Amino acid sequence: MIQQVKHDIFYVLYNRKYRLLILLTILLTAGLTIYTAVNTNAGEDILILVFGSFRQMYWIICAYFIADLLSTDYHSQTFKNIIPKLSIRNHYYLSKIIVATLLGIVILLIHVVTSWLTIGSLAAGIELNYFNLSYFLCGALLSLLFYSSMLAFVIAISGKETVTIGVALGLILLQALMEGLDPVVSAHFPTMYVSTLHDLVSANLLTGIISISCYLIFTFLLFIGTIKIFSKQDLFT
Amino acid sequence: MKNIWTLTSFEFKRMLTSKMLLVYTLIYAAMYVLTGVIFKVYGAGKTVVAGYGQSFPVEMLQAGITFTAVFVAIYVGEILIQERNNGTIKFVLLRSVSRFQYYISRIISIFLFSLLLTFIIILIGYVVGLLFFGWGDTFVFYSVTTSGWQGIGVTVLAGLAFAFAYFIFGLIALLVSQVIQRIATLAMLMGLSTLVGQYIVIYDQIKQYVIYEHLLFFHINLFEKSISYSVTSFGILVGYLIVLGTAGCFLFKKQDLYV
Amino acid sequence: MMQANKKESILEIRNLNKKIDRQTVIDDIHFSIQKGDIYGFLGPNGAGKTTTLRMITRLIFPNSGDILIDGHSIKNDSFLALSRVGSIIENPAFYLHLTARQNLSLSAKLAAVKVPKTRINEVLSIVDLKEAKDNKVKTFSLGMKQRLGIANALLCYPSLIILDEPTNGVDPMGLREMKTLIKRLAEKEKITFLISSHMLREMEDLCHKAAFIQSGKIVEEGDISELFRVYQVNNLEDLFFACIKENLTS
Repeated sequence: MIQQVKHDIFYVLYNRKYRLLILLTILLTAGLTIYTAVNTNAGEDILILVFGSFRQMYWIICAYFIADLLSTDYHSQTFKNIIPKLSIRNHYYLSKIIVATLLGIVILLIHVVTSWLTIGSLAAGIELNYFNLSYFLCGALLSLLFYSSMLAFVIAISGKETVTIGVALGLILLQALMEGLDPVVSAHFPTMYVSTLHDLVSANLLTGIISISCYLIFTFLLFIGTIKIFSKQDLFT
Repeated sequence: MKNIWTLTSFEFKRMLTSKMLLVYTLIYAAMYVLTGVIFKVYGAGKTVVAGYGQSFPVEMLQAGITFTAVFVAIYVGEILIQERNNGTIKFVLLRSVSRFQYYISRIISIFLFSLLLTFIIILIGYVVGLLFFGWGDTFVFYSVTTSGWQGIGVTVLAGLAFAFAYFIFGLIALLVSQVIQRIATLAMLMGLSTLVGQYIVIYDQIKQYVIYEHLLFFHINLFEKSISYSVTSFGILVGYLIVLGTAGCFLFKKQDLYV
Repeated sequence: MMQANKKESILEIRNLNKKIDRQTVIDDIHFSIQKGDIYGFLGPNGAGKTTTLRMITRLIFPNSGDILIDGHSIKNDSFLALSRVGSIIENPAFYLHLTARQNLSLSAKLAAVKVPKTRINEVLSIVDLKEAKDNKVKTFSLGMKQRLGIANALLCYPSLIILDEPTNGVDPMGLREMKTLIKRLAEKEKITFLISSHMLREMEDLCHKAAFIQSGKIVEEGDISELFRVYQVNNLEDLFFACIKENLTS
């Protein structure tokens, strides 16, 4: 298991496109922060507004790298190099889900730091509001785990890179369209969870607990489904 | 010409039987049903539709800009990046097929895909529209108010304009795909570009020259703006077609294929 | 190096150069192959064999030099030059979701010459795949794909067939059949073969002539029996090492 996690981490570290993804995050964040600072009058809520604009892009980036991490062995036909080294096949997807989630959190932190530094350099000394960081990260963790497990399930069923990226981006965009409609419902969407978890819990603890439990249960069920399918699958690549 | 026809018809048949087309159809259907549900629950203010089955398909076209852009990009990835990765591009090019013929067949395939996708979107729109709102007595699309066959005509015309704009966007994806190795990367970049592109179109002076403006509004401006404006927009898109087609073909003809 | 007779050559490589990432991978190579030859193209890994074959088939482009096939330059007249060439480069690629017959049918439609429907069954019989013709290619073993690759190369009545490592994954029985087939096609149908392979024993049985390539340069070329005499060896393996070693020490 640790070997597989190491392998996936090295795949991320030594892959130029992931470095470009981080650069893209920094550039988009800096651009959005400057744009928001110049064109809006958000005052101390500016960082929250910047994250609001970045959130859709963040999820598109997340959908991309989760799909990329999950489909790389399908794409490069490298299962034959990986699977024989694993004691249990279940570790394969567990490792992918863990690494994808961690990477999502790293990118989120890069956004937070970049937006904070950009605003700091534009207007030093200004007092700023932000999300409660622990809920912010907890929301990210839960939603990324759920999304990674769901895409792992999709790729285990379809075995196709194109279907996985289509579903990944399609569902993000579907949520993006629906999230403005009813805040009570959309607060539970994975794409919104980062910024809404704190409000959910503070408004009604029971609703918060049910929502978090649902996330955990569905993630677990999707993961179990994935490994059940994958452990019996014939791999011809 | 024979080779272009053979390749295009092969791609078209493959497109019709692909799993991806089913995924797209399901996602659009989900989006349209949700819009219908939201209209019923929260009223007209929360959606972009007026509540008439006959105008529902054309009203919904604009809602799927990033969706459609991503799906077009994935299709482009399938017909060029995947062909390169699987080595099947050499299956074709080692026959008497010139690179020009191959590239033209890709361009035509993208055009057919844009038309097919638009047809599917409109068809889903009619089915969902009828289920949720019934046919209704009026067709309302911005300033156009009509009914019956005229409404269908407006929908078809808007659909063709919509498909043409996405075809041009597909040509950008085709050009970009020559330097990208993974379909996921192309889809993500093209999808992100539509989000960033929406910031560019706020600048009035340049927006008519930006593809994202046409992805969003070409099919609407056709009815809302003057004829000269629409002719200029069409000319700009044709300009894109010529420049992107020529540049892409030139690049492809010079590209070393290590397959 | 021995000079080939230009009048009868079907393939002529003239001062070919190729740089990849500023590194010279093919360095001014030239040789020619005459009609009816079974020509071996031999060299260690990374010597530039596949790169040369890719240039012949226009998958990649030379920085300078030219290639003539049946007198037609692939630079100026690639359609005519490649219209009677069948090839397998590196590994045969097929649409995996299609059957063997459907793949060949598509290939026939894209050919420069008219290919009758009966030809598909004919080439499938030649490579002993008639039983599997309606199976999807994704179910094929590597050896079966190689044989289908040869069937595809034969489909359009080629005058030149280029085979890059055609014996990969082929079992001993298939190997023997492939050798017999190549010999028969060269003798009876006057098809010329350019074969790159590491299987020196097989190549010795097949080839009349060979070129040895190392680090992008042709280090020796000519009639194999003549080269045996010059290098005082009696098999292709020794000749291979003699040519390569000599070049390393020089």
